[in-house]
Amino acid sequence: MALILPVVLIFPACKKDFVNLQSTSLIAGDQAYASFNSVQALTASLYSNLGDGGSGSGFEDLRFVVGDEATFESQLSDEAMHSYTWGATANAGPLPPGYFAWWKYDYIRQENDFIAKIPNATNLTPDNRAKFLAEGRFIRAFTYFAMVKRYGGVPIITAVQSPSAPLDSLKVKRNTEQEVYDFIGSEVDAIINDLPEEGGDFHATKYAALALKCRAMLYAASIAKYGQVQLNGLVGIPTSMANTYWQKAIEAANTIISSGKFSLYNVLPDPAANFQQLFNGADPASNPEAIFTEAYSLPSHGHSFDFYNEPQSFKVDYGNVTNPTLELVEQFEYTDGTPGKLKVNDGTGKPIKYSNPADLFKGKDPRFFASILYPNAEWHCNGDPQGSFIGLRRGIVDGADSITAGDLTSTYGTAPNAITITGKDGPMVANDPTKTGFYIKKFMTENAGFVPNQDGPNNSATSYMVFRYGEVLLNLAEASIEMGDEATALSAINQIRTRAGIAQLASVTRDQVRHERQVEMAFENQRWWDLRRWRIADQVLNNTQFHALWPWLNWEANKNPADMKYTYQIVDAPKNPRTFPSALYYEIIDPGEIIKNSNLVQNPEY
Amino acid sequence: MLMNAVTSLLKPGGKAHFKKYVLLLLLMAPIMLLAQTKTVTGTVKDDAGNPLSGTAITVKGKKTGTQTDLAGKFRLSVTVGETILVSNVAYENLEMPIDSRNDYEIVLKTKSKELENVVVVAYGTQKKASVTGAIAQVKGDAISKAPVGSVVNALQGKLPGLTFVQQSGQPGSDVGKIDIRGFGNALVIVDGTPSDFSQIDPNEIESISILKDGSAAIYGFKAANGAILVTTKRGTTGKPVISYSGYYGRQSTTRYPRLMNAGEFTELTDESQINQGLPVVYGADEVQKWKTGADSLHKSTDWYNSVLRSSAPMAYSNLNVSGGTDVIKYFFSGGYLDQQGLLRSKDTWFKRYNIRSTISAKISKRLTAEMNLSGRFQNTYNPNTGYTANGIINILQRTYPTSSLYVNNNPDYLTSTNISNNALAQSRASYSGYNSDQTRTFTGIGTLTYEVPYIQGLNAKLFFSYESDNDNSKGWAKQYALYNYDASAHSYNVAYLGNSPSSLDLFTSQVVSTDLQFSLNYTHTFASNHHVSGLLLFSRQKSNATNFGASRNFAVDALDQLQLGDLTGQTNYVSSSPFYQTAYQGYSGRLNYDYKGKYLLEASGKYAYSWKFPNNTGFFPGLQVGWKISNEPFFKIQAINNLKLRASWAEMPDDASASGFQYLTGYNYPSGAYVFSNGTVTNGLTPGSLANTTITWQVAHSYNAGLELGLWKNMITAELDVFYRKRTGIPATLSGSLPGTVGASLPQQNLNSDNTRGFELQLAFNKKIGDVSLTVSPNITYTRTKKGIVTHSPYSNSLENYLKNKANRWADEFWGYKAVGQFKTQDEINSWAVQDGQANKTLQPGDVKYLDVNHDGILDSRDQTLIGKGLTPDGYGNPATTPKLFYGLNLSATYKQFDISAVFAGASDFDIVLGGAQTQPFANNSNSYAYFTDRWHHADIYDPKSAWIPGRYPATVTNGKNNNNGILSDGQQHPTSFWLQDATYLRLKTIQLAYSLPTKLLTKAGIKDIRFYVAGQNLFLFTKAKYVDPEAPTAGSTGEGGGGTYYPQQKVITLGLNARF
Repeated sequence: MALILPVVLIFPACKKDFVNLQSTSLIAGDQAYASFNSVQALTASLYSNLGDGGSGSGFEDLRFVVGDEATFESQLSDEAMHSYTWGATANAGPLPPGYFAWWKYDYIRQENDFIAKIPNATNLTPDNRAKFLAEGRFIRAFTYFAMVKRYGGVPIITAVQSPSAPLDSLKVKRNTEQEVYDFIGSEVDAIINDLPEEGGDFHATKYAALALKCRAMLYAASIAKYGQVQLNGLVGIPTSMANTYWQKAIEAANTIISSGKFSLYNVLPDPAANFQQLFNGADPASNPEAIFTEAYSLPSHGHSFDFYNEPQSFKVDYGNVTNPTLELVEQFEYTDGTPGKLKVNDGTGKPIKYSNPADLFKGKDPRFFASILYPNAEWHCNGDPQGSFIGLRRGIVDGADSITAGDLTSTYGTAPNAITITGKDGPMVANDPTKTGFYIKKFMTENAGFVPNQDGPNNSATSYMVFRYGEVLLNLAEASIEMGDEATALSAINQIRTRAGIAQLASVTRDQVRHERQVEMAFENQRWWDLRRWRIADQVLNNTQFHALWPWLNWEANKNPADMKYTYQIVDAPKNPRTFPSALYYEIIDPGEIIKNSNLVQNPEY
Repeated sequence: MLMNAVTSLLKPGGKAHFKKYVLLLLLMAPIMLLAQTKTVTGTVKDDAGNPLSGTAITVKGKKTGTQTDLAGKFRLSVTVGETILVSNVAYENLEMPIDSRNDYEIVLKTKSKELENVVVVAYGTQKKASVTGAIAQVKGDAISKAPVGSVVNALQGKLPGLTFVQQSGQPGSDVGKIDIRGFGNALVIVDGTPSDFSQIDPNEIESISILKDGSAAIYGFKAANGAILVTTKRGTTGKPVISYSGYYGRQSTTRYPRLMNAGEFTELTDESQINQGLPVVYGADEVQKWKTGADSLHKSTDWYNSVLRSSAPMAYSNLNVSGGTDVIKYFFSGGYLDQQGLLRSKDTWFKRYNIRSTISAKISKRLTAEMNLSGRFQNTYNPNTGYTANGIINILQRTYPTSSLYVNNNPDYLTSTNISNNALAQSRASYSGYNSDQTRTFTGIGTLTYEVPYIQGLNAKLFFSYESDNDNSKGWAKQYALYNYDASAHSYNVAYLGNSPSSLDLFTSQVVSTDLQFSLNYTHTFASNHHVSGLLLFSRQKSNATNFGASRNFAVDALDQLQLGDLTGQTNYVSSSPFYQTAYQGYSGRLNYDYKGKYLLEASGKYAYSWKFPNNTGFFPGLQVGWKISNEPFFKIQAINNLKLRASWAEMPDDASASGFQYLTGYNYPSGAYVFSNGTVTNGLTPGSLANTTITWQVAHSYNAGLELGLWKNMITAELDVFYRKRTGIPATLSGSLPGTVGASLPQQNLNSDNTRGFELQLAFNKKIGDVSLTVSPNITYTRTKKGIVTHSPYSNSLENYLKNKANRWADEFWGYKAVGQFKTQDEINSWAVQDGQANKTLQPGDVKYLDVNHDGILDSRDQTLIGKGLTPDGYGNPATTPKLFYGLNLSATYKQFDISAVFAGASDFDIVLGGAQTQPFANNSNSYAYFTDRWHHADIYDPKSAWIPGRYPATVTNGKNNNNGILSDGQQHPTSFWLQDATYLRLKTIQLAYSLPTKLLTKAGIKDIRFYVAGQNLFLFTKAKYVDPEAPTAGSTGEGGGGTYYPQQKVITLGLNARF
């Protein structure tokens, strides 16, 4: 009988409830729109979609785009080369189609869902509700900007579609490229009064929206002026519209400028140090040049820019990845305004000997010293176990012999005058160290709490200025010169140059405006898209072999190597040339999408 | 009458009668008490008539007893009416009542045969003769002969239907991947409840059986891929038997390709540069110096052998005691395994401690209680490479042989090599830290069995199991420095600071699983011919997993204790993946009926409940039939003593492919994050997927037909099974219908199907010839899976459909470019189809030549064709080794004091695909395997105009040329047959040669037996595959040096001892 009791006890308990468990991760829908904090969290998810550096799904306007396999578009443009000899798309020939694919309608859906639901959110003040709604629309406009600059016209969808709706109703057509740019413009106009003047650090403000509009209108104008209308306007904008868009860009820029809330960052007497601090060191929340900033916070929310870019002897694991080209280096003028060509050889073609390798760069644009690490540039890291400079030496010239090594450790000469043949940071023709003789400096954290641990990346917290006042001035200059208003353009360019610490211009041309944009905004995710919208990528990147600068130590017997002199040699960078087929002016629409939606028309040349 | 009782015992089938007589005797006992004490003699023999020496004869209930001598004879003082207990380990115990006779001839039945006749089935045991399902069983003593860390690795070749691939030799992580008939992860049941058996002490195991067909259906969810039933040992009536087993051995690598030395490395590096039109790195003079080791600066470093030793020790011990009385039976066991790894630093190892205590007590006449408690502690220890020990292998592969171990030959200063790393530093826990993973598992199983009064043959059973798995890992990343040497200043400078700052990470996770079962079992024979048994079972299982981790950085890293770390920057976290709850419930029933042992029937059904679905229950039936033809009166073939046909069918639910809670809508948190104000991270709230209220489990329909044959009194036995399993309702997403602009993906639906088919054949030959007993038992398993319905996006044309549609195709088809040799001349390149999209301008002699399948003159994705077999894409799209054919050969022989047993095992009909560094010289700036020196190259490597010298591999290009990596005209990468190898293999899996000391030497010392042996595992390998072990992981990723960076499979040689007291 002893067992009957438990049996009786068990069977009534055998209910289905036993297997009905509670989800440990899903929060119910009615709780998501029920408080300021939850709506703030919903908004965080929207912002994070666009800028997410971790998952790689964000886009380059809004984050540090750099990866171990060359997603940093600097390495695809004429700004830089990819250091690694392995694994990079940048090493292959032309970019494969779809490389910049960003058909992010899942984000659009989330944004539309938010925009639809926010009016019914509870426990919000009307002001907050309006502000959140405007932020949602700002992010949606930004999402469409990221798509239109890739694909041209894309379907504009502003409401959440039901997957169970009739399939034909879901097979939407592409809007024209012009319609998408107009949508971005009209959305910004519609929300501008609901967005705050001050963002509370990093929320989107009225001026962030205007800066987006300014950039978008500039792009639309360039497409109209330099592109071709194809596919009935799905890509391309009529040339007649160019001036309208230049004007809209100018108006947006002028609204920002006339607000008086922003100025070029100018707090340090040394212009190079000042320019460096603008990107890394200035308080991101109070930087007067920052219009919209994506900020990071360690330990949970960092990025990997330093991890991938620290020079060879300072790196933790990867490092090295962005190697500025000699071409970019020579774009930086001298402070007196003369062209930036480096004085490698004398008039007779003989290499000039420099006591200090860094002397070659004397007198260059201070922005060069803030953007690029060059031979013997000063550079620090924790405790300086590697010395406090960038050691770049291709090898040793001893009489008629050029001695170089395949590693960083082989030495030349006998003690006490022995020295490693190659500099501790390269350059090398194979392996990871720099291929061009340069490393990137802009954004890089010097001597910082760069905390390597087992998973290495995501330890940088340098904030990223999505829009800054400098760009607005450059946008204004570009739109003005295109409209024939040289005076405005010159004034804007000279503001930039004055802050930079180089000679003002007396007059300005369109090419000079573009040149100023190239050096001022180097590595700021602009160049690749500028080359595209100006439609010059297929010339600038036409089977183009970029160049490297190799420092050589000139050996003198029985002398301390520290007292020997350096010469320089310009060589083809040990990388294959880069090219840009004209098809890449528009991204391919995933053929799978066209199969699912026969109303989608493929872009030209695919 | 009593004589009749004894003689009837000797007759086949006499056992049932014997019980009656015992009963009768017991009833008569009071009368017999009058009898006198006397001395009786006897002889104990086995069923073949051989005398059994050393057999224990005890008087039941007393301490008196003796042992038989060499002739099997004994003398003992007893009283008439007492019962003597005759026990010999290898035989069934026998109780013999003492009657008026003074001399007894006692025959003991061989225990092993008896066990073979009973197989463990779901929730019980069954006589082999009446089994109707596909079940294979192996005994514990056969498994414990293999010197392996995990008992799983002893199973290869032993059980027909069990597939096996072992991909690593790393201590603690070397558990082979097994499944039943290629179905996928099987349900593992240990002593009646779902658990893991991979780290159970082999000497605790009584038997392992696998249920390959509908026999597993009664387990409900999780059993659709078959079930592995592990039964641990129980005590038996008799004097305590103390058993000791132990061995010591050495492990060494089966095969691993040699890496290039500095001469080879520098020469091929320069070649690679020249082949790409890039400047050379070393130059001929320098290469020559490296080749000859010209001076102290040009000495090649053998990193592999500097960091790894040629062999590593392994030791194992188990002590157990087993015994019991009618009331209490017990089995206690303790075991210890110490498996060291190949690092010279000795900082890779695995230690395991197992204890188990099983006690059963007859509490009252009808009530029996059993308590089975087991505990396990295991510790896996590795240096802190960030990637465990195979990370070291990766670093070794990447390090240039031109890098020295030490700076300036000073062992105090380790070099910063080409990868800013140093395998010596990374392999030393004292230098760079460690990862220590400790697992504690406790299992308690209590069972109450009650024989229900009034209904004969009915018992009720209450079963409760509690298992707690606790995992604690400690990762200590200690700051360390690598150096370079400034010759001019005579100073050692830090070139690289690793793990800076030091940090400690503690992570603990706990899984608690409970299992409650209540069952009614009934067995009865009606009218002597109708054997009926039945089972009604209620069961519910719940699992709960939680975890927590914390880490801190250390300013002062003298001690690896978390409380000494810095508070700033500390992190605490909960990992979401192992944080879950599951719950299952079910009502099952099974009915067995046989008529005269000829016609066999088994019907079963289960109402099963799973936590994953809103409509969470279904009914799943199964049916099995058998016909024992040899029991029919008309069957008169003398040679055939057993002929049985059987068939089974079942429907089995499987929820493994569906994720839980799909029916809920809601928001995920935290998901994404953004910084709205300086220094504060706001976590994101993100809408979840569309709700899915229709998803449900997939169903496996299992069919099996079997034939059992016994010839000449089972001297030869054969068992053949043919099976077919069809799965329907495999969750898949109806992709392709919904345009991406909707922005949501459709939820999963139960759409896809597949089927698996194959056969197994097991033969056994048992024969005793003179002093030699011989067993030869080969088996073979063939299994292959075919996709049925495969939901897919629409294909734009028939070619694409042909290339991509996997529906109704074998799952292990491997598609890619078919290599048809290598280009020999430039003319051949010029006239061949365009492979590189650039008029073959990038190709050179030696490059791989591909078949232009569609004859359009361009090689691109459209030229893919079937190139390989036995490679099934895993969940990540990487090919996983799936041989179609597995085979084993079990041999054993005994001769007097010697015995030998061997297992050959292997697999066939599959390829392995090389990848990453195995196919790309200097991948990711790594060193390369020496086999790449057999390559196309110029007669003078520095003169690109000199003649080509052919080789096995294409001309060296760092990372491999696109063409040779399978990136052809359209820039998309596909596998190429150039890097496939037929991996068919046969290996001597286990061999053991033993010598038992003669019993007469031992009895006086109170020792039953002592057996010494030498044993080996993986000693010989026969295969056509080159360079790597045929069980090596196939290529998947190309990063981090890619394929080949795994801990190689190990062979083991041991010296061992078994003793019993």
